[in-house]
Amino acid sequence: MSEEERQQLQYDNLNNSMKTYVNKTMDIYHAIENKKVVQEDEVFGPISIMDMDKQYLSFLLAGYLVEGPLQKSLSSYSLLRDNYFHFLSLKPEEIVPLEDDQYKELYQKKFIFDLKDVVKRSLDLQNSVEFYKKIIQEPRFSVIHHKINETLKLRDNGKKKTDDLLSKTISKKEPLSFQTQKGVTFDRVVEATTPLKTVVEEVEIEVPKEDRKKEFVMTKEVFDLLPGIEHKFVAQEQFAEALFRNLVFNQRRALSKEDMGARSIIFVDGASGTGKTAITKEIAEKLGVPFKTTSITSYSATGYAGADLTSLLVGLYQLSDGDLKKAERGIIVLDEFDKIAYSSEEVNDLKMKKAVQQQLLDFMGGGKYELSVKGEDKKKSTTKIIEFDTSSLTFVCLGALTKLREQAVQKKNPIGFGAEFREEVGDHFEMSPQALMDIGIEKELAGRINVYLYTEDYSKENYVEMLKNSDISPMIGLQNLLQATGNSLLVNEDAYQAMAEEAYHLNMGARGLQLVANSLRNSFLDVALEKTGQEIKIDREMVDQVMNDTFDRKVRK
Amino acid sequence: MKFEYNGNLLEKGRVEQVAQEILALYPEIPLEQAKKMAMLEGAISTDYNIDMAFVRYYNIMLIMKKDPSFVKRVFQDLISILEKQEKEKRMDYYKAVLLEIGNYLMGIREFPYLKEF
Repeated sequence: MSEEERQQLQYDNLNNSMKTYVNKTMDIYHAIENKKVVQEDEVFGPISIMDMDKQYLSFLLAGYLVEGPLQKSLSSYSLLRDNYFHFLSLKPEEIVPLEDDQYKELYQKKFIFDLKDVVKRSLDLQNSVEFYKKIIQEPRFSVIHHKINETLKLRDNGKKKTDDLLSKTISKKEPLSFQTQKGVTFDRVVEATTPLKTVVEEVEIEVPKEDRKKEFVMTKEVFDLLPGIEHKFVAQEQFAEALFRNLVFNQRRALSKEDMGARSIIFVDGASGTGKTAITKEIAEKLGVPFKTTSITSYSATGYAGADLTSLLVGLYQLSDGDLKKAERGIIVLDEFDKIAYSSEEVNDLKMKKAVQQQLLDFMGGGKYELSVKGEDKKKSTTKIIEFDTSSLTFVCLGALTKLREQAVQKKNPIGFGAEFREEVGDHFEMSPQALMDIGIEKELAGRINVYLYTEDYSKENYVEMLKNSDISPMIGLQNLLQATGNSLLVNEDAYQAMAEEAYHLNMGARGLQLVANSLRNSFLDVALEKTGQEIKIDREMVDQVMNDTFDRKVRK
Repeated sequence: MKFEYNGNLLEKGRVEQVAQEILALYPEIPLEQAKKMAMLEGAISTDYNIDMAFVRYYNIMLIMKKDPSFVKRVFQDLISILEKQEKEKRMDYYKAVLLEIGNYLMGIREFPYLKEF
């Protein structure tokens, strides 16, 4: 962000209309900040909202409460306003104006940081109506809106009114083609509630009695896993939740006798080191599902024989200790998926890429593959032939389409919660099969993918958060090593900032943080192993020195 | 040596997993020493690469440096792995470290720390 933009975002530089609206937003936020908002969904378990959701909802509610053109536009949606209040367990009288200095402090502390991208895009806007449109275009809004609407359906009060309102915007008969992390379908204006509505209302998940105790994934308690997963991976809570729900859906679909529709075949777009594989593996382990990961680029033209990808199936079978049914609902992560894309001008590796895409197409289409695996007789080395059905496998394809996404922000795709209001809303970016086809994935393969998710790029603040608060922070390893050797570690606040800055500049995601930690470890390893009772102090100066030395040495070598 | 992905594991679980990988190859190493070796490396969140192997074998030798005959075995295992890498861009660095480990095995110097290079 430029210095000029940073200045324009400052509270004192907001125009009067924006300031009035933002102040009311902060009044509402202050009233709900410490409220625990958790709603129960019959199938998908507890739905909770995070702090940033509360900020978005505060913006949305403020629109109804601040006199002016925005309030007038929203006046026909009073039911939605009431439902926001109900969802938040908030009464209008709880919204009390803050002191003047409290507004500025809260804005600078939270809103300008968490919502800086939205506010930044609103710099040229002159009024709250335009800003409101920016807010409801945000991906997070559709997730929140979906959650609110789901809880609306669980309440019988005003059900008819709710259906009447939603029927203006939902085409109930239209089948879902695919859904994104934001819950909105591709090239069709459909409410975010539609895909889950199908699952919630039309399917009963029948589990044989003898399996009920075994299959944890079929129970409501499986959703108790989600907060722990979200907490572990800083800045990726939205992705973790969306992926979790899709993976649970696939498991239930594989185990259920009911026809639950198409499984989720998932594409995850995100920069390197942002947790795509880590989060997928974490969820697979927590669900007790066998998991294999491979990089698509490891299949070379000379080595490719069509059977290489089936080694993944053998791997799943082995991880399942010979339980074929369990292996058949395993998870396969295909890393660097975008690397098998090709253009018509390409000469090298074209044959290999086409062959790999075709093999993947066959896999994802669902078919039976004969595999030779080790026999059960442990005394003799025997093999046996099994028939592996891929129709219940979960495929998670990982790629980094950052440039494509940045370009595609220009594309138009309406989203909103009211038919009339939607016309005024404007444009919103959506990933689509076309995006994959544009980079050279064949149409049939791109068409198999029906769920698009993404991970967030990390900010410097995210890196600091990871270092200080993540359960998998690399600092934990450094602490443990020194404690195990009778020493201790002291890290000052500025050191965290310095490490975050280094990681940010390395642009390798969480791996950059690991690299910084490894370099620091090497710098004091002799003290850690040769001495005891030492206190290793890490400050900015040390971080800078170590990283300068590390990169100097690498250049020399 | 497996070098299994462990980027999602808590530190305790990661150390345990890596220690078991080390013990699978060198079962004579005491478990506590294997855990200490595991503490010297960071999380694995990519496909296998030669640098992973170098760091792990180096850490094994470092922790076991009071037993030169054992270090010599690991040293030879590491050389066998590096010999198979034809165009590794960090080979000069690895060779420099191995040279000094060789000097340690000949009794010329103390076991080298990586920050020397």
